[in-house]
Amino acid sequence: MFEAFDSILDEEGRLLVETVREFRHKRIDEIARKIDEDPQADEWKVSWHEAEEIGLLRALLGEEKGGEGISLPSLCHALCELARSQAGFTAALLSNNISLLALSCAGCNDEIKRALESKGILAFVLDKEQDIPVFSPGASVSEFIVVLSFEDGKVGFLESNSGSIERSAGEPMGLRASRPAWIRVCDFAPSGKLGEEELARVLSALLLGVASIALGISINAFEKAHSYASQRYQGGDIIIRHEQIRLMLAEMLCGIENVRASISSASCVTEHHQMLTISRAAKVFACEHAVKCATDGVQIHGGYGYMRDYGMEVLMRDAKYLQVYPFTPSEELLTVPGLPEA
Amino acid sequence: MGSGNKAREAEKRLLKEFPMLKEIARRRPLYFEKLANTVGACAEYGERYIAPVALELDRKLEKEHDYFPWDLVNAALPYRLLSLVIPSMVGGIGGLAVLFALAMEELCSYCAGIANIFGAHALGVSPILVSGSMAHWESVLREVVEEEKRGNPVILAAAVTEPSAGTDVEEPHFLTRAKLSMEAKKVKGGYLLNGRKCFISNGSVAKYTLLCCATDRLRPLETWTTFLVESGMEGFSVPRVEEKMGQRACPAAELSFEDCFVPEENVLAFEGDGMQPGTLLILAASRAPVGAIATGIARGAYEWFLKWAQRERKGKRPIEKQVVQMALAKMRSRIQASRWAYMNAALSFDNSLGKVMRSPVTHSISLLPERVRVSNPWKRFFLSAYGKRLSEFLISASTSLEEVTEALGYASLAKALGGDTAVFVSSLALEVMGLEDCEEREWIEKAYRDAKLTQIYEGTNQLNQLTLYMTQIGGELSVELKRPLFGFSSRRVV
Repeated sequence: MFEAFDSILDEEGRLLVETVREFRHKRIDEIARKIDEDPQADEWKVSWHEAEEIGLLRALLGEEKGGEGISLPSLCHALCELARSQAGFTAALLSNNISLLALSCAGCNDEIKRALESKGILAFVLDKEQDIPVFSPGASVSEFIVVLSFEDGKVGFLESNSGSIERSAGEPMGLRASRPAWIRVCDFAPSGKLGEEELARVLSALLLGVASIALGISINAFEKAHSYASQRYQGGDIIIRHEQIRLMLAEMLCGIENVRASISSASCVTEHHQMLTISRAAKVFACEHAVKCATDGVQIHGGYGYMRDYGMEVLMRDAKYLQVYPFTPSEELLTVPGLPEA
Repeated sequence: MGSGNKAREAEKRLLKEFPMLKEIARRRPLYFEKLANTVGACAEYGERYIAPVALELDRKLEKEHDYFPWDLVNAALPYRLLSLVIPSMVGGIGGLAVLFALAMEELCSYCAGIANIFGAHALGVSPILVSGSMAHWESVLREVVEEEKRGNPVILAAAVTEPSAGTDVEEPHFLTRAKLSMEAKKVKGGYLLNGRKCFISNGSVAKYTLLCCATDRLRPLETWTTFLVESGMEGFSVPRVEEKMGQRACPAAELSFEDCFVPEENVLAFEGDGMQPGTLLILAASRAPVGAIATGIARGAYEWFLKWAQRERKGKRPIEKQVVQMALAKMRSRIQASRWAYMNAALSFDNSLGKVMRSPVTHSISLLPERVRVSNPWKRFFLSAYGKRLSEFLISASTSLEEVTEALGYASLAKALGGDTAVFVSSLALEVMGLEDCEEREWIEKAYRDAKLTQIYEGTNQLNQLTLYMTQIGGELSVELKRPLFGFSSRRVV
């Protein structure tokens, strides 16, 4: 049902999505649970290197700078595809991509070169308020932290063990396979600065990336719930024939189609104000729907959904984290451009 | 049980949060004092023993899912949490649904996993209570009480769910069409149990498990029967403890039976009484406390969220923002609605089936010397058909099918509402506070994981809504009370 390509994708995008699908089936499906549960699992690093080989770590970076030069719609599709199996791991890939995009938009070419040559993992930190620790996917294993100051657009390129950073692994409930950490940026010398347009571009890419991962969770939850409901016999029939269950599945599906449409339209907009507005809307809606799909998916599975073996409960945990990363829904909604000033 | 201070605090809280208890406090001050003492004891236990270890224990259980916190159960023994619903005639606290629901809310505001050890234990006690099987009151329940006093916890469990039948075994219409894997075959002197039960809370640690299954899988409703199974019985094993998202401290186990012989005297009530009235009476008793479990989880999340909102950072507090204030108001209103719903349901139960405990006959029995009640002839009488009929008579003379059916409807309402509240409140709290690196967030995340189970166990919320419809709107389901002296009440379940 969800294998058909979106019409907005070009040939290159279709090829990428196909490659990612193969990567998901061959590698990520089998390790998805392990890398969520075991923060030391070797499989994570191996998969990371494989993701690098298929161009998922530097997708948005232009070819002239050593990247893949993949379009945002294509990356969104690829992230969604991978998140159908492991949202956390995909969030770490997104963090790496947004780091490189921010450096690129800020003209930090030397830093990009250094990062690519060292083959180190990059984690992105959106510094909303100084001195407050920020959740960052990939940050517990990253060699570099890219900080973007939300207030003034300054971009910093910091080594993870530098004195400007305090890193705490914490006890995250969700996105654990992203190898996250809470990063407190004490002080940093900026390597560059983003103008209003670039800032909007980077933020939009981040928000649409998150929305795409959330969409992947929704699709995963729907597929698992649909499959289970088609087999589980209760009340004299398979439960998919019970109206209550059908209604829950139908709502999941309708929302998925709406989220797909909103991500697609947002990723094609070029005017930066409009792009940011639609991206915020898409992210809020996609994440809210992912939480609903995951919660209803667990409910349809009954007791089995609550047990870790079935791979449903992790969707609830991951979706909840995506909903508040990098902004909470109210932060997101209250700063939508176009609203009357407070 | 607990300290006087905690009891006084509990008294104030109860009167503030439950306006319906004011009249009860005036008319039945001793009963109200008992409620306040119990809630006070739970608060003291929660504060002293649960709060300092709950998060750490939760993390430990993620890695060692079959670990069981016996130390916490032992610490609860002086508070008598294993005896809360055991009748006072055998030495228990003698609480019914109201007392137990209040205790559950209090304990769950600290940790639903630890609280549910006592919740699942009480669920195991309930078949013995509602069957009126006084022989087992004197053997099993008295053992729980006496061992509790000696410092040796005896835990019970109830086993109903089967791998292919969850919702189906909690509702009579569905049971007729259930795909059952477990069966009890009649043999000389008892039954041979074969099959599996799954997701059984306390299943791996219970000394006694109250198990329901069919004696003829082709006629499950007519032959659904409750058995008392003891750990260590030949052919009974626990092959697996589940890895859960939350409520980890209370183990959910799979139980396996291979030609497990259970003697005749371990059948509660009569063969075939397991669903009507057995399971329906248990659900009428247990669903209000499950609503309270959920309300307690929501309350815990709310209290941690409030603490977070009031904490100052850089001269500002989140609670100054309208978004946070409105979130708190939404949470508070949902919690209060759930509270009133479970209290209403619990009162409804206590005023229907609960009247058995206050009936003159039960009271007279309790006045008999203990040596008579624990004697073998007494037990043999209550294990005989005559004794079982007397128990049925006691129940049917104390209440009516209309009262019990109404209680089942309200209990189902309270359970579904509470479950939704727990998920709503914990989810909203995380949504508003975001990913701040702080202790409050970790507690609320735990509540979010714990909360989801309350929409699933004790019948999914969908089934509870269906039960509410069938009992209070559609009139398609009523609890069937047996009237041994006047024939059976009309069967309304087809």
